[in-house]
Amino acid sequence: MVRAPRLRDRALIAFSWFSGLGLLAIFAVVIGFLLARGWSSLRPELIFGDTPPVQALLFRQQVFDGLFPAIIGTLSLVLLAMTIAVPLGLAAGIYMAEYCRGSARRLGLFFDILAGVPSIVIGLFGLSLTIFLHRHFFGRLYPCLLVSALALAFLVLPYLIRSTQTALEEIPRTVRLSAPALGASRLQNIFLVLLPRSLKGISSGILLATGRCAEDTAVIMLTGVVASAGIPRSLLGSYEALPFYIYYISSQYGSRQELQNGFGAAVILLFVCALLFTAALVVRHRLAKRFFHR
Amino acid sequence: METEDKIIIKELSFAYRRRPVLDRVAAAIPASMITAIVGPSGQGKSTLLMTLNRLWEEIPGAQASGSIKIRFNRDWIEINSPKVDPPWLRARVGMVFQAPNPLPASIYKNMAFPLKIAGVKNRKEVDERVEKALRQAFLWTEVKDRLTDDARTLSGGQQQRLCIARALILEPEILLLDEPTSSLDAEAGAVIEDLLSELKSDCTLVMVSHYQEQVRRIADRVFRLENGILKPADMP
Repeated sequence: MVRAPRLRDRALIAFSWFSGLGLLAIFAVVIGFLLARGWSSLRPELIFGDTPPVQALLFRQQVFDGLFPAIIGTLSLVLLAMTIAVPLGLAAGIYMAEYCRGSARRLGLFFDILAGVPSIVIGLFGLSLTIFLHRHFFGRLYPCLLVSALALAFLVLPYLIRSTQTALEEIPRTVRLSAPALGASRLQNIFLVLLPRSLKGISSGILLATGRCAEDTAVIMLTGVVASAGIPRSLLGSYEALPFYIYYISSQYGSRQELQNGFGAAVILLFVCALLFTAALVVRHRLAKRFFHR
Repeated sequence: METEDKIIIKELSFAYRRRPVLDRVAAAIPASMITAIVGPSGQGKSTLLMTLNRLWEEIPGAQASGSIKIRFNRDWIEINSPKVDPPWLRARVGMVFQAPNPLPASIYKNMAFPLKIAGVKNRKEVDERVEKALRQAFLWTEVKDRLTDDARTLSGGQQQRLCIARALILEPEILLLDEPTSSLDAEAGAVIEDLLSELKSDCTLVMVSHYQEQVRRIADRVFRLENGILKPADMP
């Protein structure tokens, strides 16, 4: 006989539904608000200014009064930061889950503390390090795209390490032992079985880290971003970025139209994030398919 | 007679997180027979199997000491020697677990996986060995038209035979079986028993089982493990 759920169970189910729907509602309100305020300013001129879009897209002509340099700057920044952070995060996560034993496990606490460090502190650290290196070693080094990307990579590293470690540690023992029982070495087990099995958990960590890199303002405003720099020409040059533009406009707008443009930039930043997330999901899907089928 | 033995265990002790599980176990396991290990739950029967291919080394907190010699061809090899490479050993001492554990991949990829690890790249050879092992495990006719299907879509009994076939593809001299029918219904279990009886002509089987009837039907030798001590036992 199936017993009717008790009042406590019902209350828990109702609360879970309420929390889930509440979260969805908040998400919908935020997106809706941004779209409502920013939609009207979403015109080619907001991105390309007076420059013909084709000329701008082919990098033949500079865009001076549009968001195109900031979009390219954000994409460059995120890709560079993730290129630095993902291999390091994966390697450290694998080490923590598969090799780290005994008292070395306390390293995990260090990563948790690092995850809680405010981004402005990471930004200050990046700036201080740049000044130190500029004075003593590399006179040509100033706050730039590379320094920002390194600081952002440092910021998101704990998420990547912990998500990789958790995803690997959640694999049941029978699965964990299946490849070694067939003669696989530890490295073969990690790369042929454990990592593909934990792809979903790891990619969630990568998505979170990507989002964090794309939105963080505090780190970049101390390490290289400027209001007007054009398309980034080198790793050691200044650059523009969407989150900084949004921050700058929202705090110093001179007209209603400028504020409207700020909302437009926020919508564009959402699109850029969606684009990066879609790319990450496609890569995950391709990798999973490659492993799962003949 | 020692020459007919395949495995000789002496003074084998095992502890998990400093808790003793096996206490100076000794046994001689004959070649080309089914040796069953019986005993109450939680006494370390599965652990004993894992000492025979050093799989215990993959479990954090496990410690073992003592001697295990296995006769490969005509040479006796001390498997706990640091000179013995665990992947080399495990390719020769296959293992099948209590619950089927196919990889989340196609049937073909599951079968080809041990060959990929062993560095066999010739597609024709891989195809031939996949077919041979699946035939050995009485599974070829059931799966030959659906090799690209996800292995997890097979029934429980088919998945367990797939795992046996996957272990057989490397042609191991010893096959360790940890309660291979406990998660299956009687019909699927009977198919596995027939399969094991067929296999013993090619390899030595060491099986942990809880089912007295099963031990009586297919085992040639029986050992009982209780309180960390392993003793020869009569057929139940």
